[in-house]
Order: sequence, then structure tokens, then C-alpha cells
Amino acid sequence: MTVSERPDVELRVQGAVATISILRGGTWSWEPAAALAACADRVASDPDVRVAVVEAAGRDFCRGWDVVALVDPVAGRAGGPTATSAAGHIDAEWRRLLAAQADLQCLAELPQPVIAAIGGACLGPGLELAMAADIRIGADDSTFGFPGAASGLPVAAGGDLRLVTEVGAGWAKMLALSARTIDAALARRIGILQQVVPRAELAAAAAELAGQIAGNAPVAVRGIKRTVGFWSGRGLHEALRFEAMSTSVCVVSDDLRAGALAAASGGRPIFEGK
Amino acid sequence: MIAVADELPDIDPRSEVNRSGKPHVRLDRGPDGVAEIVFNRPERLNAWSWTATNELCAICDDLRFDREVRAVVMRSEGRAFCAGEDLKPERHDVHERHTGRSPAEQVRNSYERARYCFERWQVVSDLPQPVVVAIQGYCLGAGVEIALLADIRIAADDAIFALPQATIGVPVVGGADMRLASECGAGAARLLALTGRRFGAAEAADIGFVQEVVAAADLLGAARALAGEIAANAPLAVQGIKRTINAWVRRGFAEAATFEAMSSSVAFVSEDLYEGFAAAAAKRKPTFRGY
Repeated sequence: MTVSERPDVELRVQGAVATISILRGGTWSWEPAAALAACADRVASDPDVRVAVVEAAGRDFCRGWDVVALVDPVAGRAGGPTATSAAGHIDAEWRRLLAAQADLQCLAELPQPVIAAIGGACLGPGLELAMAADIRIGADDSTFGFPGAASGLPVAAGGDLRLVTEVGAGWAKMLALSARTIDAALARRIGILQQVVPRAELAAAAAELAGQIAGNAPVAVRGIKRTVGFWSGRGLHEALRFEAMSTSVCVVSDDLRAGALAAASGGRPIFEGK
Repeated sequence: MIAVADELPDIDPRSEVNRSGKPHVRLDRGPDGVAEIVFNRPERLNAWSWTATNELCAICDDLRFDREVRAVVMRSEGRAFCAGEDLKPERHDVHERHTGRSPAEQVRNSYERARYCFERWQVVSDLPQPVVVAIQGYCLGAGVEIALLADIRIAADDAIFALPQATIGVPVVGGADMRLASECGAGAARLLALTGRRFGAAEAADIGFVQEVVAAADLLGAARALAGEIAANAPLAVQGIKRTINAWVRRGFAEAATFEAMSSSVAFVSEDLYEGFAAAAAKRKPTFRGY
């Protein structure tokens, strides 16, 4: 069965394995998130699906934020031209981020385990999506990072929080504060990835793991996911709301605009901390 | 033996003043928005004291509202980052510090000091600007505590770490065991705090305690480069990331800190703790009897 939900994302179900493919290559804002959530809803209610795989169709999983598109060219700030004040912009952005977080939560809280199969760049929102999965397999050409701070944008949908739980606060801060990118070997060593395979074998490796999990007792598998998620996610709801508020404030900053202009022109941004 | 004083002892940590004529901790202002907090007692391997806590936290109180500073390097002069608690401070050795007119009052006094320590150190760990710590040589006990107040840790390849408290009968007081559990997992925290064993830079990197290991000669350069990289990013985004991660990492921490302050204070009325100190001073093996 192949259902094309929206052009950003495609859902295929073969036997007990559902594969969600991100068709949008390169950079994103939050466009694929709503489509991912719609796919997740279908998977959640499909009693035949025992495992989901998230992958990207193109060379890269995600090359990071489309920072230029984030900044509204009319108002000069994110939040859209209808917002009338900084407080209005913050409020609009806060609601937008809560919606994006809820979309990613749909995927994270699927009753079935989710495997992310990651090739190429996995940056910004791509890494947030990857961290929402239960198990991550990376191709040897995969790279990881949160480049947002270099253009004025913090992490928005809990990717850094999930990184803390998986890898530790030191590494979460190292990646998000420095905006550095790390390779698959280091990502494997610190625990972002559970497995690294040659690029040509990525799909097969994900299929093999999915098949193995699908062969185990579904009630036990779902119970394990539920329990581990309950423990590692305690307090996450409150922390996500705090992150959405804190990040919304940065979205109206002059520094994000400077970062977006620099990204558009290829220059170096000058950040004044305002 | 447990010291039981007849007179009211001076238990205020703020009363430990620095009479050495030079600060134990100083602030150096560098270019490009990077400031350096420098532990400045190399002749004592930067042994930790209330004086050091008081000076460090006063500096951080100022940095918190300093708009020029975008990132901080924390480092030590000399061959050791911090060899542990100063067991021979100018005033208040371990006996004098943990006094009271009864064991119950001793526990109460130790608890208030531990709670004060948690409160003051929070100004370091929750500094809005990120802190990169550069660690060389010994980083023992209090050294690990201080290193865990920073956001990102870089070690020289000669760094030696340990939480040796249990080997001399002292509990962990400042939250290093809990912070280590958040950074490296509860298993690693238990292994290191319960054994007190030493571990090197490679193992520290392996368990995720440090994010980078470099040659000793490159340590300061690497820390300054990383802090400079962070300082060049957008300050509001950077501080937003740090505050969100800290809010998440420290969920439940205040309650756990109150518990650790009380639980650890009980150890200060045990006989084993004083046996541990006596054995360490005499360089013999302690005989712990469990009370």
C-alpha cells in the first residue's frame, strides 16, 4: 500500500513494517512535521504495523533550517505580518512551535517502535526528528548537529532535551551551543547512533532491525517502549513548553534577522545580543 | 572522635576569609566577549575551600548581569585543576566545621552548610553564559564537583579524575554524584562514586564526562577556541539553549539536593568519617566499622 499524504512525506506499509519517507530534500522549516504527524496517526491505528522506519528519500536526511524562510520579509521578523508587536510575534511563534512539538510527539509516542535510518546531513530539525525516534541507525556518511545558534536560532522541539537523556547534558550543550557538526563515528561513540553501516546498506540494515523487532511479541515490545518512554520522558511536557517559550523570544530577536540576512548573502552575521 | 563543643560554634561559611593576600579565584577579561575564571592557588594544587566558593560565586553574581561577556572559560593555574577539598584551611578544619552541642545539632549545622553550598553553586551552574572548563592534572573530589558546574568539559590527556569521598568516609555533598548520573548515566555515577577509583582522560571521554581530550600544551587553546566559537554565535539563542537544557537536566534537582544535604550531613556524626581522616593523615589503611 502506498499513500501519499502530502508532497512532503510518503507512507508505505509492507507487511508489519511502515516506512515514512521524507520527500522534501535539503533544508526545512517545520513543513514535514504536520505530514509526519498525519502518517503517525495512520500507523498508530493500524493493527498490522509492528514497527515504523523513518527515512529521507534524498541524499541528506535534513540539511538544517531554512533560516531565510523563517524570517518574514515584510515584518522583518518571524510570526507573520499579522503580528502587531513583539509580544504578538512571540505569542504567534509560541503557538507555532507548540504545534510543531505536538507533531513530533505524535511520532515519538507511536505505540510501535520507530527506527530512524539516517544518511548524509542530519542537522537542526532533522536531528530533532531523529531524536524523537526510538533507535537510530546512521550511514557512514551521516553527520549531526544543531547549527541554529550560528544564525540566532535555539533548538525548538525538544531535540536537545532528548539528546540530554540519550547522551548527556555536556554533549547536548557542546553540539547546540557551538553549532559544530560531528561525524557518524563520534555520533556512534557518544550514543546518538546505535549502529553505523555503509551508506549502500542503510535501508537493508533498517529493514533487518525492523524485521527482528516485528518478529518479537508485539504486546511485550509495546510495553517496553511505553515503560522506557515513561521514565525517560518524565517532566518532558513541561520542559517542552518552557523550550517553546524561550525559543519564541529568540525568534523575534534582531540577531536572528542578522543571521538570516547573512545566510542569504553568504556573509558573516554580526550579533549584538538583542 | 566527634567534636562536641560547649560553646556555640561559628558555622557561617561566609566567615572563612582569605588572608593570603591574593585571591583564590580571579576573573580575567579576554577579547571577543570571553572571560576567564581562574583558580589561582597552584601552590596548594587549587585545593577547594569555602573561600574559593565565596570568591567564585561573587564573580558569577557579577558575570550574570555582565552584558559584555558571552562565554566563559573556567581554568586553573598550575599542574592540577583541583586536587580536592582543602583539608587544612586557614580556619575551620573538618572537626571545627562540623560542630554542635549535640549530634542532632551537628547534623543540623552540616545540613545548613551543605544547603548553602547548593544554593551558591547554582549561580555558577545557571550562569546565563555557557562555561567551558579546562581540566589538567588532578581533578579529585571537589574538583569533579566544580567541573560539573560547567557546561562543557575539555581535559588534557594528563587529567586524573576521582570522587574519592567514600574511601575516607565522606559522602558526596555538592551534587557531583547526581550531576554525574545526568551526564554519564546512573551506572557510571555509582561505579565511580561508590569505588572512589581514579580514572583518566580517555575513560572520562568514553563515558561522556568530558567532550574533548587534547594534549596538555593545547588545553587552554582548545578551551579558548571553543568558548570563542560559542561567543561568536547569537547570544540570545545560545543563552536560550543553555537555559532550556538546564531546566530539563535539573528537573527535580532542588528536591534531590535538599535530600543529599540532609543525608550527607548524617555522615558527619559517624565515627568512620574521623577514622577515614585519621587514616589518611597517617597514610594507613582505614578500618571502617559502619557506624
